[in-house]
Amino acid sequence: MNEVIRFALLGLGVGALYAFASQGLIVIYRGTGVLNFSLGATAIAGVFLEWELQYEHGWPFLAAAVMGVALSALLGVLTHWVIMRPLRRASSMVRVIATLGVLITIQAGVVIRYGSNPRQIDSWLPTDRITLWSDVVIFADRLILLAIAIAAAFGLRLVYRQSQFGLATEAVSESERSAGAVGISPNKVAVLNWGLGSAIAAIAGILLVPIVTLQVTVMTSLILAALAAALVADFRSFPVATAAGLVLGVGQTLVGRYSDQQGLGDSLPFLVIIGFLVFRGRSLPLRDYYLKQMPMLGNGRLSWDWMLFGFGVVVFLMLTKQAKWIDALTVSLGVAIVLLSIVVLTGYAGQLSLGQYAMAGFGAYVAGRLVSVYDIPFLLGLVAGVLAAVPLGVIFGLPAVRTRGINLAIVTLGLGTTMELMLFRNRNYTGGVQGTQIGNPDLFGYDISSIKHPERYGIFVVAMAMLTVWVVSNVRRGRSGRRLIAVRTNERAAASLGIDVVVAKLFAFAFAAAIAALGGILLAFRLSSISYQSFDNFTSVSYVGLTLLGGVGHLLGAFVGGTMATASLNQEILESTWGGVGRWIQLISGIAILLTVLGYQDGVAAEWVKAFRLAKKARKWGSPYFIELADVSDPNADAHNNEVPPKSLVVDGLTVTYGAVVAVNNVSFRLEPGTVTGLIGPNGAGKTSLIDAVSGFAAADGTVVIDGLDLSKHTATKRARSGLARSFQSLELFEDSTVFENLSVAADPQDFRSYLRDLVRPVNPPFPPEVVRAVIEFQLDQDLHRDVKDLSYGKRRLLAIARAVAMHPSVLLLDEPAAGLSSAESVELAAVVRRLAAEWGMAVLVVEHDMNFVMGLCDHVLVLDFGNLIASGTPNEVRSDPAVIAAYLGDESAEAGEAEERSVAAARAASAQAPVAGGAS
Amino acid sequence: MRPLLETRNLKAGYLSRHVVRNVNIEVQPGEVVCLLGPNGAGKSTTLLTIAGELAPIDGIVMFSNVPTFTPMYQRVRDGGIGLVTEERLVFTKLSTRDNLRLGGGSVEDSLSLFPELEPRLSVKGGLLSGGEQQMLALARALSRKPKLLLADELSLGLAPLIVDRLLGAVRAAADSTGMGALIVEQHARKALKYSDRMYLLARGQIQLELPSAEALERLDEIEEFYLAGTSETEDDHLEHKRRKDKRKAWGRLHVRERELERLSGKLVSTRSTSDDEYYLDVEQRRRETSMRVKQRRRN
Repeated sequence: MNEVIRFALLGLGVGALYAFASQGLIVIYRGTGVLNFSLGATAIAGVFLEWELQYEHGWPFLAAAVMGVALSALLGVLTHWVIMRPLRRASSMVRVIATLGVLITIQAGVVIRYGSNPRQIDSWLPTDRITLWSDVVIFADRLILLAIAIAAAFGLRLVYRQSQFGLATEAVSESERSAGAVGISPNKVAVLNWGLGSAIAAIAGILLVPIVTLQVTVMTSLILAALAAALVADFRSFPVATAAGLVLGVGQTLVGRYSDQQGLGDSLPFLVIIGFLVFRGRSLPLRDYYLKQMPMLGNGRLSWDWMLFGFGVVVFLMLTKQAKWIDALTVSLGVAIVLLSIVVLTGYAGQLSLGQYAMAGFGAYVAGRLVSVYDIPFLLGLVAGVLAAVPLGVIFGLPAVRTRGINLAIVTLGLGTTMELMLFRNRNYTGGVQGTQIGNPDLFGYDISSIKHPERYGIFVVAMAMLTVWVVSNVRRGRSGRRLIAVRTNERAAASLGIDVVVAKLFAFAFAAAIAALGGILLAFRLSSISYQSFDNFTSVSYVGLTLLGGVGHLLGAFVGGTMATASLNQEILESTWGGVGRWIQLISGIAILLTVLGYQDGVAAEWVKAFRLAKKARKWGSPYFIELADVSDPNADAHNNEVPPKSLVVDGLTVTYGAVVAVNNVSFRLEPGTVTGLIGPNGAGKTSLIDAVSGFAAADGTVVIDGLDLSKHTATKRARSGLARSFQSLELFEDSTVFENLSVAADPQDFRSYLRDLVRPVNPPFPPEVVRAVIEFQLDQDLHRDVKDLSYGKRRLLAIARAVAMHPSVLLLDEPAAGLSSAESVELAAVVRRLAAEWGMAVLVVEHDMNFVMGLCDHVLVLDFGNLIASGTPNEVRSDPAVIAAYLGDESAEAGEAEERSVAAARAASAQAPVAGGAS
Repeated sequence: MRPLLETRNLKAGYLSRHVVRNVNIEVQPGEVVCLLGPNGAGKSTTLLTIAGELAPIDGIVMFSNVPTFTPMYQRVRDGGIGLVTEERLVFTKLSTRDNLRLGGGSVEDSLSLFPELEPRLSVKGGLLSGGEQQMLALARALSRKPKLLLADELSLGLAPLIVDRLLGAVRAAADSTGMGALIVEQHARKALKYSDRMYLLARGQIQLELPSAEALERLDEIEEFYLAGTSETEDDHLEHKRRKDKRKAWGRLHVRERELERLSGKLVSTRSTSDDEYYLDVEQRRRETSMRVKQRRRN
């Protein structure tokens, strides 16, 4: 027992470090909403400066420490000023990658200056043994660190609770805009917090380096453990984070001591992270901005002649050059295949995974062990490795169902690191000291060993790369690719079109896992003995950066990124032209990632594509890309009957509450096929809440029945599939796709089979007749090839409605379709909506502010005020109803009746923070 | 007397799409001015532009005759502007007391304005009722003794008695300290009761400017604007299109002129209003040509 306590006390040192670092993370997160992966690198820079000043230049400890802390604070402030501030409106993915870029840059800079060897440092604190009882002893420094960590926690808590600065930080973290409106400068708050957080981390580093040795990577990986502690504390409470950090440190030491499972202790923090994010199910609220930028997407169309030319050149080089060049090309292509998996997962499906290289390692592990132990042929091992990665990909993807953005990044990083620590580094599983011996890979008896015949292996890799590009391109152009892009752009809109968001995400993870595994296997089998330790989390992280650098939405981007990896083509070229450049390559790639993130988020490939298109236009090569409606439509469209199956919608006793606020109160109505019903009411009356509740985007009491089928318990996706379509007030179009793709997503049947069929042959059937009619009705036939972001505002509105109509729904809910249209346009729109009801037989509900529009269009009008249905009848009846006029103008006589107050708008804003997953009902 | 606030030909909107244009609003010291209009007329956009949250697309915002371009927080912090926006400005995780402290004014002043808040001081902002939240936001803005108050939809979702209380506080502050106030309201009757003057914003422009007393007499006229909807009329639309064409054509010609200037080293011609027809003509011809080109390419 005493031994357990002794080890636990020993673990307090590491625990204090976790506690400190998590405090730094929380400070920066609270001040700016950024999860700072670079904090460890920032801190270690300060620690090294302190070390240099004290030991190389003979400064006193305190002065050196102050300089070190100041350097870290400065680096933190610079990170904010130069990189994070310009990116404050970028998507959370881009911001994560930016902090990763900072991590790579600073770490590389530190390695260049100080090298990467570990250094033992004498403690600055007294290390006397203090006997607690019998043989239980504790070192004095552990006790002091513990005291400092706890004091810091309560000090920070006091600062953030009491001081004006703390209040301002809290205000900014809740809403930057509101904070600005009460006179707080968000930038000043951010700068102070960045400086403070970085300084705390540096102090932690300086105090604790004697315990954990001074080495570059130590702090970086410790930040990941600190993340676990910060997560437990919800990124808010300093004392809780400190306690969690201490518990983690102690737990890690104990598990390391008493468990035979190698690596279990080190992966404990990651297991905590995963468990926490997956099982708690609530994700970290991140500040999202209205106009989020997403990296541009390529269209996935292959230009066969260019592709064959490119790969031909590679093959030619392989046949003519020396072995080291062949190897560089092979590595570039192998990495490019791994990066293609990131293109699929992060580019197409928008899921930021930091574990793809670990996934590649897993594929290589399965294939390598099978080949080594059971002596099966290489090709069979390859197939087995790829297939084995698929279920693991699904497991990696499961957290994505509940978490998104940065949380997902943390989980996948945790999963990857756990795998690295427990599997790849465990000699028991990887073939002992000599590693996994795989001999010479052969192809049906033909030796393609990379040692003896590098060119043969190289050409095999080229063939595999071509195959991967072809398959990925198929997916991009097919139904499944459209679904992934829909999910990436807007999960709400995707669910409203009947896309099963969960299945789409899991498919992306599984597919990407298979690709990554292929790349990993090809990289691993270059050597006759595989060492799995190279599949580490840092490489996983930097590969995401490389993909972004190359162009995360483009097939070509993966290949551009691939040439920039370690031991790849670029390094070989640099080495041969400028010897000794190897040690700079990390720094160069870190800076390149930062510049890409700041200036060209679409990546190098996107710039090339743009330039190529311009050249094409200027030289008049080929014809401009144009989609003719006749080419994409069913030839017997004219003879077709457009009528939808008539279904009526019955809503009974619908009540929506946000906390204590009742947004919609016991509303009942019926929508009949072939009629248009208007829903009007002043601001904040609950109109949008009502539509959200009916279509399954907001939780509600009461029943929603469509054609006798009770939908009340169904998800938004299922409701959409039962013939209920809606449009959004904020349009929620898939901005970076073409009009054609937007309509195709809606018109596609939502089958599962397409996911598999697309791998081989993309499914692109012609538009069904009703979609063709919709395109003509909404006058979009000249714009099919255009990107949504290039459309005029009016056209976008029309497209949003056309997309809902393209689902061929029986019941159509339109949320403010005419907002922002000119009167000429809205008259046209009214005529179209009228025809949808009269000729197609849809039951239409129109929410609108524009009274003229509603009065001229609707058969029946419902009026909502304070969530209550206050009037219902024909337009003329409603127009002369005194209660309606009172609701709009605020009438004195109607006051007594409604003394209750509501803040619907505020409550809706609050609930909008909880994103609606596809599965939410 | 110098007006506290003056906008000149303000054009406001999001990105480059304008929502309102030609807005000329003036607020004198001690005056409560209300800006009425139907849903979606651009009232909030106008107010946010005046507050500095949105940059004006065109035109100038002047406080005490000084054209101002600073960001919102500086106007509030240093410029003597009190701001209450539609989203209530209450920080849900901070207590009422902390919320009040945040503005920099004294808590006592806020409480003397709204004694109702006193028992709720240690309650978290998120747990206050809608009326209390709005009182808090208004009390915080007023406790700093602003020269000018900008308030957006104080009455949104609140019971009439509370609206009286809020608007009454604004009125009292204006009368006692000479503060000017611009309040945006949808509910016309209440707002007119407590204000001196009104502007009616509809179809993207100021349609009416009246003393409030007179506006109360002519409520049915205002009602007409409310029920007529927000979209532009046909004439507005055509006029808008004409202007846009003219601007485009002028821009194009201007580039060419400058190019000539650069090449020949002399001034070519300056634009005068009589050239308008010419520019429009050029634009029309350009459009026809491009249409023809498109047609041909398709065939």
